[in-house]
Amino acid sequence: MTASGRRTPDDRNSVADARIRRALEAWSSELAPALPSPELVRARGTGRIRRRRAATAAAAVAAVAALVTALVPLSHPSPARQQQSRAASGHAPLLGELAAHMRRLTTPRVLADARQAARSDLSLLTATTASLYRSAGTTRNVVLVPSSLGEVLVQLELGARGQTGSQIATALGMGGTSASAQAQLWNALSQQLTIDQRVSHVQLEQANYLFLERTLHVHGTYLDALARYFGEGIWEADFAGRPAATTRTINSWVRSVSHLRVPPLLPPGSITRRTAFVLANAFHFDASWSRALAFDPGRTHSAVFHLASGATVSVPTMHWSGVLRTAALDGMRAVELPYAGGRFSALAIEPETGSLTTMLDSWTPTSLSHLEAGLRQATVDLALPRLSLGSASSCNGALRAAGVRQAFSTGADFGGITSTPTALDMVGQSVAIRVDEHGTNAGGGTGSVSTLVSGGRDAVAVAFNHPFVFLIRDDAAGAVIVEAVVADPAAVAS
Amino acid sequence: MLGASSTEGFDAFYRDGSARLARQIFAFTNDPAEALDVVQEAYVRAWTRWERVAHLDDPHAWVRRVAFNLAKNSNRRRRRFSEQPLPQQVVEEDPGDRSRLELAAALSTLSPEHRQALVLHYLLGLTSHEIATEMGVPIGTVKSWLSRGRLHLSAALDALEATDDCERTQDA
Repeated sequence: MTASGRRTPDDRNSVADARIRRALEAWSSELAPALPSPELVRARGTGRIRRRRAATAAAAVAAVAALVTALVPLSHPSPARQQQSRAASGHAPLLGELAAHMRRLTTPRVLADARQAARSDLSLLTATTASLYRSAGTTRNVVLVPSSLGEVLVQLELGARGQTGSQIATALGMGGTSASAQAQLWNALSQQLTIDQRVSHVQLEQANYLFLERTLHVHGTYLDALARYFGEGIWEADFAGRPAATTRTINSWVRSVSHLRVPPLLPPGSITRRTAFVLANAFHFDASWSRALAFDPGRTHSAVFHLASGATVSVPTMHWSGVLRTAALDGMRAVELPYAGGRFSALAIEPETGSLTTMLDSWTPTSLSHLEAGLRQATVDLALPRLSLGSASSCNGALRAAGVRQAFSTGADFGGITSTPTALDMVGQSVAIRVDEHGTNAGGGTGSVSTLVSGGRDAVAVAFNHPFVFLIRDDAAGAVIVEAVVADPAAVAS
Repeated sequence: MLGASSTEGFDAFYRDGSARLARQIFAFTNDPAEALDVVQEAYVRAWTRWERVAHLDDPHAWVRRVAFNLAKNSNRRRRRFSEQPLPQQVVEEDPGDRSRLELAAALSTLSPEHRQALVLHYLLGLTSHEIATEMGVPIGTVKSWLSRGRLHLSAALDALEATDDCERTQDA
């Protein structure tokens, strides 16, 4: 202020600063920081230190063994072998392929464990899909990430006792294996899925969280096990005081990890003042088609899709002609669509005759394995609807049908988690999937070049114009990571 | 494994700074879930290297830098994949709070570095010199950010007050 009482620029700035500070402080203080206690933060950090030590050991072994393994193909670069290798990997740089290949070779324990979990994953998928599809009335799309569902179930099983635990193990196809051994296998699958992403040209992220009612006492041994096997993050939540706000927080967290506009995982009202904890797993997968499988957007046009009800809808349908692996076996017809990098692929499967419900009813891990083993190269004229599907499903019915009953009842025993009697209220999944000319979950630039291969005279026409199943697989682990039962590709993702 | 004294030291450090840092990151991201996630992750990282962090001149500055970096990277990833503008979440979840919306919208138009400087200045009270040191940028840049930021945020608050005055007149 000057002697004459007028305000100087500095005065005006101070006034403005004070006003902004007050507004920002008022706004930011609206965040009620439901941060975990320091003990929980330390538990998570300590778990990570253990995991890192284990991972460093494995990587060191991989580096030594890699030198030996790499010399074989590099010192005998047969042109045919190189060409085969490039074709399989969507023209990934050869050294990158080798690095990925060597790492897989040199972590046999992790890979073996991951494959065992993948078999369990397949059991869960075949046990629940038909039930979920039927409960959706065969008119709604069902999208499932069996590996996420499996992880959450194993996390529950770690704290379940007696029949509550054994029923979960049976549903996972792992009856007779201890919960901690199962957790180790699923941890291996999780590690396997997320390694080598740079060279396999995909983005795959998974995250686990335990949202815990802050007044609930949870056994330290359980928290320690979650940290050890799943790198679990823990949030204390005020379910009792602010159920609606915590519902929003959890849904928001799922969206931020999955990077897509997934339908809300928890519908309003699902969290109540009696909610004890929520185990959540979020997942994100992003990949482009292999260069050989470049769909030309110019060939995408509307085509008829026949719904299970007999009605028809018109949907944008992508077309491609060339050589792909296909199989026709046990009443199913499948086409394999490779992603860039060669490690992940999609498998579109439709019933050769009859309905999709009948096909899903007879699904077993063995029948799927047979189908995969029967894949052979053939020239195809492919027609595949562009997909943008969203699904929020309760898995309660499907899990009950798969034998998980006591967990949902008053007889549930989660005594390994907390001494407070608790029962499972809901297991839900919320998934969104987008499949277009560029790949799955489109997103990042693909750099793909359109290389149309004209269909030969004996090309097989494969048009997915009836309800079908779309699986995304990690071929290295043999795991199905996403499954979409496409009932109506024209349905708008919710 | 770290000893009991380390544990106590970390716990005190966490209790002292985590809520404050969460508010700063919330103002930076405008996403409560993201803010809590980032802050928890920053403190987990602090614990995994606590023997070193505890002996720094200012451990709070270290964990703050980690948190802002995590938030920036997270925002980059999110924008790339989800194609969602930053302030949408607040718009969707609480349409009634215009003050929050105005501030969020005004901040979201600034670069992450510019936003960070404003948060450090207004919510933590750091001077231009301290911000320049913490962010590793020239002091002239910080002064320019603060000056432009003051005008920008004042304009947003002016617009809000003008709307409120107008509504009060109509109600009367």
